[in-house]
Amino acid sequence: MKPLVNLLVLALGTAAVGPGATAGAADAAAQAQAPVAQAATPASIEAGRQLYQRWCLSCHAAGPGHPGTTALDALYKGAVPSVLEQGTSLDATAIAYFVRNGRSTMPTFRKSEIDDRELDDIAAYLTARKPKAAQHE
Amino acid sequence: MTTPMNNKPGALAKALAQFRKIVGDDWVLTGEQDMATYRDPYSVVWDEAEEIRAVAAVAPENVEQVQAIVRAANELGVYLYTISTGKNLGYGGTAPNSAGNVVLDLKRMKRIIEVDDKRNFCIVEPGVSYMDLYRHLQEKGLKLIIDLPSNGMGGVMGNALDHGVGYSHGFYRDHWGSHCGMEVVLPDGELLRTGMAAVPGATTWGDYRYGYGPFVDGIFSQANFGVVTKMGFYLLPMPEHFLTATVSVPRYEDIIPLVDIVNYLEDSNLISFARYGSPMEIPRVISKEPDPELLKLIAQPGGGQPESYEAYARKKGIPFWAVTLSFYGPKATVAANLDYARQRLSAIPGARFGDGESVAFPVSPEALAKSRSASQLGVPNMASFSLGSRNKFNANPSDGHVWFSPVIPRTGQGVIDAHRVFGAAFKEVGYPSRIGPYNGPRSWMPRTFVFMMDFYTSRSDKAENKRVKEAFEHLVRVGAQHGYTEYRTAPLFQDLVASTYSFNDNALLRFHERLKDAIDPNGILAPGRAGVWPRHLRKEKT
Repeated sequence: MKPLVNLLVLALGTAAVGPGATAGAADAAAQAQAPVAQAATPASIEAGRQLYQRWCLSCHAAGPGHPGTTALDALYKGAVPSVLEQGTSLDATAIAYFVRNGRSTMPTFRKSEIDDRELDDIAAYLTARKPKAAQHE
Repeated sequence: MTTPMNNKPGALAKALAQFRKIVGDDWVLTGEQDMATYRDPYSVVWDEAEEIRAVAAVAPENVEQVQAIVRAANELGVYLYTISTGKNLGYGGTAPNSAGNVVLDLKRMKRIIEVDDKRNFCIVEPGVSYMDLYRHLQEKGLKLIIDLPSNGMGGVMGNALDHGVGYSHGFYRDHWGSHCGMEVVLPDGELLRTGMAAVPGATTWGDYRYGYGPFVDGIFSQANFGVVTKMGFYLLPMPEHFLTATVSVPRYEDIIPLVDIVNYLEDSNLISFARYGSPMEIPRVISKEPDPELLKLIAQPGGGQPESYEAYARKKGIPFWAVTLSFYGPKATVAANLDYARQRLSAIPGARFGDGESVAFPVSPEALAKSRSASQLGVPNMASFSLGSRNKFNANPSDGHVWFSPVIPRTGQGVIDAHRVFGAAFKEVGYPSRIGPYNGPRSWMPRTFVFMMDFYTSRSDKAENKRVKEAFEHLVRVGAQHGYTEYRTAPLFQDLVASTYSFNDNALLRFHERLKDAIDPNGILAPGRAGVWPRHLRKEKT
């Protein structure tokens, strides 16, 4: 099974040649916006969970009526979970890229909405779920 | 329109230095990556010379900082473009009307100042989203319903200021129309309050909007005369029950008596939102492949003629129109109102009735999970943003959308005329029609219809964006020839739309310009917003 992170990187690559970004912009942006590595603590993971619920869940929750999940479902075709919280291999760089640059109808999110620290927390939450999420794969 | 920067040499750098002193270094943003988040992600002119990008952003956290920023900008002649949550997606998002603007980003001002579930109002700051307010109501156990737009991430204030609309009952759906009292920073930094908010010691800010004397609130909506920093809003008290039911009618021209009767019911407060549609209107997210025969009909240039759809409906044994009526109130009352509505609507030959949803308030998680009416139940969501996004039947998702949304008379004949006029306009311009005889009007505004025609945008296909822009502008011009024009639009089209309100040699726009020159003589606030340019830029406009 192809890890989710690889598919997200594939999505970034696709963005470089298709809808979503100008050529090369995705890689450059991802590098420029890679969050500073920090140890994920229980506190940051919990803060990330709450931030995820506030900012991400309305599009990325399970079930119909969530455009992010619907889109990833069509993109991944069941190869990996389309619900981000169920993924096993999300990458902090890719998360930061999509939050700051958007993708398709997903808009950009500014620092006044989600600051860099909060973005780190969201990444900590989404990248800390490997054991449980692995059961889905 | 792209305008030259008016900033005097060094003025921007001086302003940014002052802004940093006011809000701190972290909240003055100038870097390329940060400024990328202030582009309109749904822009029709993405990466084109016409795309207007802000030069910097400043994000204050209180009204005193807003006043200081505005004073500094006014002294230095630096343009400010104000956003609240910045999620006015499809209508410009965070991007300004003209070059050289610093975005005044009010998202950090997110205090919910007061909510009263006995007098049924709230007072909020600009950064409060519908989701924030909903969460607050839930946490505090307040028995109120928020009227919601499709975009649950949108700002309560920003949506109202751009005349946004929703799905619940009567005037609550008109978000500007249900505001009550404002606080505004004027272009010289002075702080103004309107209505009862202007009375020191008064506790009636959220109760009585007019106060005394000239009612000036209107000049701060869809405008550039001040920075609105607080607003009050009327809220709907939580009803006991929510009910929906459908009525369908067989023929195209049945829309005429159907609208007349539904108007009577709504204007008498017997029903709430009425969702017009047709079984031939393909939903935004589909669960099965549409009938190829129907797709062929819809693909006709200009959307085709009503007769072909009537023949299709007869052949398939489906009605032409279906309206979902909604009701809020005590369970017995809404049931009685539904009975009465059915009695009135049964006057249309062939009318058929169906049941819908029946949900008790407060809405349980189980009931919400089953419902297809989350917005009408007051629960913010993003379901509508599946529009144009990737799904099982759409492998080529768009990067956004813009709406062409003209105001149409609230009659069946008005609907029929709009089908004909805009179908022909699409045919003339050679763009796949975004309207056809199967499209129902949108009835968010309590007293008028709009038609919502969606155009998809791309961040990579400039040729398609160019086609969208040409088609959109053609529709605005054709609409204006027939008395139709937009209620709201993205900055790219605001000059054009403003020009269609052209009675007496554009007396309305000229009056707006007189106000602009008097209130904002240096023209620092959002030059060009809603087509209103300050004097020094009007000379350069053409």
